[in-house]
Amino acid sequence: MVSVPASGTTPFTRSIEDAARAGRRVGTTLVGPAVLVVIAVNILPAFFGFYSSLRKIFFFGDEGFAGLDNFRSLFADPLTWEAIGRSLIFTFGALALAVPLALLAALAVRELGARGRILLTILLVPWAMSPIVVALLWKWILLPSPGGLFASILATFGMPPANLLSNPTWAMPTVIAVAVWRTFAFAAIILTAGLGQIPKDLYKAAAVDGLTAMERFSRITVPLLAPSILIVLSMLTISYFNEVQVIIGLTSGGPIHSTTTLAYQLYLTGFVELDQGRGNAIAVVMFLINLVLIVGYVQLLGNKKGGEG
Amino acid sequence: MAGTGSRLIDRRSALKGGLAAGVAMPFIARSGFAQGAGTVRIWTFMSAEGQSPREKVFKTLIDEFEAKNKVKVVVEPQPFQELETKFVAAVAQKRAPDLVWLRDTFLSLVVDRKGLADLNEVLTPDFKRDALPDMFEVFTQKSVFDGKRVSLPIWPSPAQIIFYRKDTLREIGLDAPPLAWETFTDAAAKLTKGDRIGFGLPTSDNSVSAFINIMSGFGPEIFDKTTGRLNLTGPQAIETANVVRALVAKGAVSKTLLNAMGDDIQDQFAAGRFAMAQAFAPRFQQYQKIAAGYDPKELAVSAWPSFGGRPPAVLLGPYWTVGLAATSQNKEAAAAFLESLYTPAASMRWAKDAGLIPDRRSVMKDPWFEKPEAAVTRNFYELLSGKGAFVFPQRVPDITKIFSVLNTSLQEIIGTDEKVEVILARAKTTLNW
Amino acid sequence: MNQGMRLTGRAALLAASALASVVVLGPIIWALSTSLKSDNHIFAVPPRLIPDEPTLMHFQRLVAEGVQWSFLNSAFYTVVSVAFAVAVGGTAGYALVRYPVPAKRALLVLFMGVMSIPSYALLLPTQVIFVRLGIFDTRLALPILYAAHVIPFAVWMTRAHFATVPRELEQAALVDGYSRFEAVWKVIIPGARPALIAAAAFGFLYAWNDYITATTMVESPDLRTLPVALIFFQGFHGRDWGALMAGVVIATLPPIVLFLVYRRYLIGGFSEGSVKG
Repeated sequence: MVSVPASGTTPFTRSIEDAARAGRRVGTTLVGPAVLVVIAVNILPAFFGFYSSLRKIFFFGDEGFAGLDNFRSLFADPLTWEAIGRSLIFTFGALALAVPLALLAALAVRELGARGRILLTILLVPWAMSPIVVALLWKWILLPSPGGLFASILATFGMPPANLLSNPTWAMPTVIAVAVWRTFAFAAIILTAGLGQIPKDLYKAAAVDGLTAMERFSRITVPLLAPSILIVLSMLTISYFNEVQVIIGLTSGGPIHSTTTLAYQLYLTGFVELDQGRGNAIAVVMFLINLVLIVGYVQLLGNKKGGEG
Repeated sequence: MAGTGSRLIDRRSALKGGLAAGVAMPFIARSGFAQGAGTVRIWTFMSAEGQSPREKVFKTLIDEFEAKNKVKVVVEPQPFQELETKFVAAVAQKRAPDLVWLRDTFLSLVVDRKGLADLNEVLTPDFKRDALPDMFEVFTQKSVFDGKRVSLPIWPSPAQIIFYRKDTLREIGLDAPPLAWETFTDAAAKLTKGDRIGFGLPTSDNSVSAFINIMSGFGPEIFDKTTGRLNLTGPQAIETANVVRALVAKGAVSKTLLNAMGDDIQDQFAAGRFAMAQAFAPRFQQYQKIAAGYDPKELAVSAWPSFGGRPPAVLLGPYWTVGLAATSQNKEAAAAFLESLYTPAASMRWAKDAGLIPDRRSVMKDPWFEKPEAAVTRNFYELLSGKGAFVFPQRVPDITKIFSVLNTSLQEIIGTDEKVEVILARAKTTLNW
Repeated sequence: MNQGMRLTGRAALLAASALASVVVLGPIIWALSTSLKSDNHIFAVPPRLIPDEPTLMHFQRLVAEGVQWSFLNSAFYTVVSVAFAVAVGGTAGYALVRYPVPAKRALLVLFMGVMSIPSYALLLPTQVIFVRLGIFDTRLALPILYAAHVIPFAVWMTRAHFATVPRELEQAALVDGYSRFEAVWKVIIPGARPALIAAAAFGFLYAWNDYITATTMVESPDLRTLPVALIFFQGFHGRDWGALMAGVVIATLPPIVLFLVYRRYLIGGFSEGSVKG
């Protein structure tokens, strides 16, 4: 697994400069393969994609340089701006649902002790499933006919079958809920670990001071959990912003565009309509938004850590 | 059209690919580079191991062909919505199969990218003399681009058509749906009862547009002769939209099914939620097989109603055609196999065992078609031969976008109160027509 | 009084946990139930959780259509890519902590940055490049792409772990007369097990569950993965819900089993990677 310098001598037995030089050489050798693979498979296609976004390519036919035409027509199209808006609604809607759920789950896991581990394990099962499989599964459950599971549950409460995926108001919350169903427990793991880091003595001291449960939560748990929450937020933000399989599988972006996020727009334009120049332009826009989100979170994380010394 | 003079992305790829493939050989299980002389590779949505009746017939025909000729037929099934895309990419990258199943609506795009060989050069004189004239002309003609025959239609079918349950129509004293829109909407409204909805329309497939199917009631002139476009802001489109609005207003079409794919409509039809629905004709047997909410014997088919006393409409397409790759190194063998799918015996098998309409029209004279189990096939055959039957023009511009754009419009017509003129004008803008 | 409140609180907590478990597991059990029903029972009203006449016909159909080969393909791609990614990524993670690697910050940003590139946005250009290199539609295509996706994660996770292991531990091993290699093999790797297993599990889930990459990079049926094979049952004749749900069950079992076996490491590894990262 690890390549070793042939000499067998170790850096710290040599003079300091030698050691530094040898260390750099070994370090570079060890990091090299990972960097090369990542650059070859991620960065090169990214550049090639950027190049393609400047060309007019339709159905695999490259019709030449197009300058910024793809971007111009993209931003002139009101649907693009709506799609960006819906991406933000999807992303932050999912966060607003997933993070509190994950926090509740983490608190429950802590409270339940040994049984908490079982609960966490159960909650994590959907996370082990393929997104496309999850979409299929929920499509089947939400089948709006009397034989559907969801429809039958509604029927036992005397309600008519509801077709959530065909309802312009409900389609978005539904795809959000399905995405959260698959992923919220992942956040719960990290928050559980974060809770585990909080010294129990703090709670005991607070109890002695007569703080209520609510006060303990807001004055101890929340501030000390903040770094973990930020990590959860950053990981889930990226994951939700790029989510596409659940939307492909459940709503195809409809009804009336109500679930057409930017990620889905990319899929539709590039893979269905085969307007590949424009598709690559959307990919570039998505990448830039991702970058902004990441840099934002890294800043926040940095400040947080710095602030706490 | 876009393609002329366009440069395909990967011209030199095959050469380089071949070199690299030599290096990576041990890892390559099988790929486009290993075209043996005695092998015909086929891309289709069917699998050689498939269990559906159609796939079983296909397998039998392959076995017979292989027994008679020293040729191996290799089937590489692909998802049916991706066949044309994958094929064009594969042609550009010199790894295309010999034969490919394509939808008629994509032919012009594939032809423009020089993907298909001219079958006139490889089909035997016997086949040209006997088989071609025996097939449906409306289909065979469409495959001829500038004198070149780029594909052969297979399994003629009315494509998107109306399935209905005879039991529900009996309830309102009818044998079949009315064939004029004015009367159809009222009948459909009466068929809505309790949980059951009169008429089901798919509204979100990538290759199906109920809007175009309804509009086909105005006949072939809905497509502009020179541009191939639909006039989306003309009186016929507006009338079409008004019919949809009427269906919704009368309760025949439900606003709760605003985002239904053909598959969703099928599932719900099986559960008994519709009296009538737009359906894909080749799925007739499947609809019978999964029927849970009604008696499968009550299932029947109808043409589309028309406008202004025109003949009942049947818009033929998208339907399947089979093309020979321009890059094929084995055109003779591939063409021989292709021909073997269209012998009278093969046509009989497709019809008898898989319920398909025979490609060879003369086969319809076989006494088997008089039997009750062939009633549906006869029915389909009549729809195909009817006066109102026509196909999509050879070149419909923006064919990859038109379905999703018009489905969004249909969703807006069904689900909102916005003026139909505004909705249709927006579709026109989106398509840049 | 206080005692009573705590008891009701505890009961409410247990009830809520049970409800959450039902919401989480219910859909999966429903899939299992559907997969065991014959075609004309699948749409039956009202739906039944326990099938009247359970049948294995859908599973048999999957086997008749050769889905088991896709299953093995998925397993092969997954194992190869995970082994490669963990080896390469773990090495890099170690080196980034222990050695003065030039441009360390930039490399960290690179690894973090690529995690944010939507991998399906790269599929179009990647396909073209792969065809030119001759690895399109071969057994190599998917392991390479999966590994490249998992490596940054493995780096991130193992780096976080090694940062917590005191350097003195390794130095002690060296002083004890171990060679550098022995030190790595006998001290460092065993110590890093939770992080390595967590990275491997993440890689497993990613590779096993991928659909979009697999459907664009592989065309030959005998190279196809399980999720791609499943989508064929949502095909030309409409959705075959029985076969689809049988497929869902088959596709879901391996990750769940793996997850149950390694849950301790998984949970530990992820939390370590995040808290100490």
